Amino acid sequence: MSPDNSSTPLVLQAESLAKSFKTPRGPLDVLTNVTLSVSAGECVSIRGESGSGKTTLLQILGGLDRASSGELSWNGEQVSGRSNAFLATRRARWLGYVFQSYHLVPELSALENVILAARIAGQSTKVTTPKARELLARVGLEHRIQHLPSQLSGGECQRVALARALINKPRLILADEPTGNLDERTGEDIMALLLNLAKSEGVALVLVTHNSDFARRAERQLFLRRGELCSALETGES
Amino acid sequence: MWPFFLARKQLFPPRRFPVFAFISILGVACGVTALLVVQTVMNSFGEEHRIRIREADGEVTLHTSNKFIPDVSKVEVGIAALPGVKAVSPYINNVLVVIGESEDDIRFFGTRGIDIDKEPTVTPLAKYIEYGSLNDLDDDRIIIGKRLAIRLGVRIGSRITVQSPYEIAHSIKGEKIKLPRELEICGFFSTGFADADENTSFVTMRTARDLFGMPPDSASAIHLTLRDPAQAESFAEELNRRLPLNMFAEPWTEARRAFLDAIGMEKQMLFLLMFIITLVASFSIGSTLFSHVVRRTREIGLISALGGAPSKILQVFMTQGFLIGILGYGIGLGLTFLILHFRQQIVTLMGAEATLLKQYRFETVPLHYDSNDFIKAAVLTIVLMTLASLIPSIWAARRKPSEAMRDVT
Repeated sequence: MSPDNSSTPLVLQAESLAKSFKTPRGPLDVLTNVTLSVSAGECVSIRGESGSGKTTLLQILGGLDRASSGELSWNGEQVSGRSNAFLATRRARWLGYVFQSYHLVPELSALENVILAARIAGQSTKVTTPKARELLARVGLEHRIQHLPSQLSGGECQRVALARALINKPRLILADEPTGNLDERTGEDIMALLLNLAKSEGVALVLVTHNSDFARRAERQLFLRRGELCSALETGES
Repeated sequence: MWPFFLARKQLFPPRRFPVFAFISILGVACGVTALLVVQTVMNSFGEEHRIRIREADGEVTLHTSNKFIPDVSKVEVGIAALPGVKAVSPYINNVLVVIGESEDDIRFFGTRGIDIDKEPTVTPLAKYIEYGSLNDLDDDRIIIGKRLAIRLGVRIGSRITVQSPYEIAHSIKGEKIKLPRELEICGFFSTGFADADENTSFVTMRTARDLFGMPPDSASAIHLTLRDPAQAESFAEELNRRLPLNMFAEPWTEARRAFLDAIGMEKQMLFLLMFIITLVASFSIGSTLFSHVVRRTREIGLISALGGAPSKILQVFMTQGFLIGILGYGIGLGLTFLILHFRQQIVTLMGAEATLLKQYRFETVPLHYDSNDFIKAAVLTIVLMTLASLIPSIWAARRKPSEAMRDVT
């Protein structure tokens, strides 16, 4: 699945990715042949039924899991087969994550959660603190930066997660059901914020969602069926 | 160093009582306190005995296999001229019998004939004299230990009748009968060491020679101090090569060696015991840390997703073990000083004064810190705690980020 604009540099390129899990009843093929290219600043949504392998695909694309076969490149650099330490370094620099369950460190304040991502990427606290404050202000949390996750609502936690995903100026954000745990209205706000931030920062976005309304806002809509990605036109869905 | 930052935050979460850290650190602190208190007390017993031996006998003592050393002045001059010798003093050591008012009231105690001018250059006897003074001692007077005075029921100015076993032996053989001698008590000394305070007295050299039938210018032994006390053993060894066969030099380290070795062995065994206790504590902390790590699976996955390398994740959890070790040691150190400060009150509270006196011969618990004990305990604690955190840390570092994330989604 390639973007229309071939002149834009690719931030993500996956070629014939396959993933199978060992089970007592033999191997379970979750992904059979996934090919995907995402160019800089592009927004791609992936939909699929529960258990179709969307999260597994996202984890493989983000280097959190390894494909059984196939090739993966980030910013034109081959990453499949590289060491965990190598993947970690590149992930810190190039990728941002937004998870369904926010995954904030409970002992850290909103500000510290955002700064942590920058410190992991090798930036100093002195440099990143003003940047983190600014990002938290952009997501509307300037008055809650010292609050712990337990003192924030679900929507606020997800806003912190958005700020955290953007702190290292990534080339690509991988969002796994970012509104899955939120009510409709908060989900709408978060999605709008995510799309706006990605656009204003020029960051590519791969969005895994069940919500067809949100999926339609992406420039490209894909479906994961029987371990393969196909376009909305191919499936007849809209 | 973000791993340190995160480790600190996880160990001491803000606005919440750090239960895990509190229990772990307290456990380590208790182990460290037990280890250091036992080591210091045992070390103090040994060190106090060593000090007493050195103070009583100097650093090297020249003995004779004969009854006495004749022409002791000449020998003294020869010894004093040897390189490294600081001061020399002769003495006579023997036993006296004190005869009470009734026929059955006969008691034995040790006595040492000393040269009043030379003795203070070798032993600090003067500093232990509580009543009277060394200068008050003359040929008709005696200084006795405080506990001996209690045992004999005497006070300053009291007169006691003494006789030497030498004189008694001569009386039995029917030889010339010498009448017991009367001495006036002119001073009490107290060293805090029961053996000395209960059984020792000091008289002049002339009185001692007279009591024990020794000729003028003779002594039982000569003790000396060196400019470098650490050379006592080598000095004695060198001196023994030059001395005639009927004389030998003994360094202070050889005196009461069996007793000191027993204390040393006791200290080592207690160290081993305490080490095992600390090891058990470290296993327990290791298992607590493991469950702490398991509970943090989601954060491990998150840190990986954010780009944290496995080595850094390892650091996060090993730092927690390290911090537990450091803080546990620090608190343990404070508790050790506190307990040792109130050691005497604790012994009194436990009713262990009699045991202290009977077993170790001290009236009060001595205190001598050995920096080696503290360094050893610090290294042991911090290394053990860091190692205890190693297995859970490796487990955390080796977790696949996708699995860790899946655990919570």
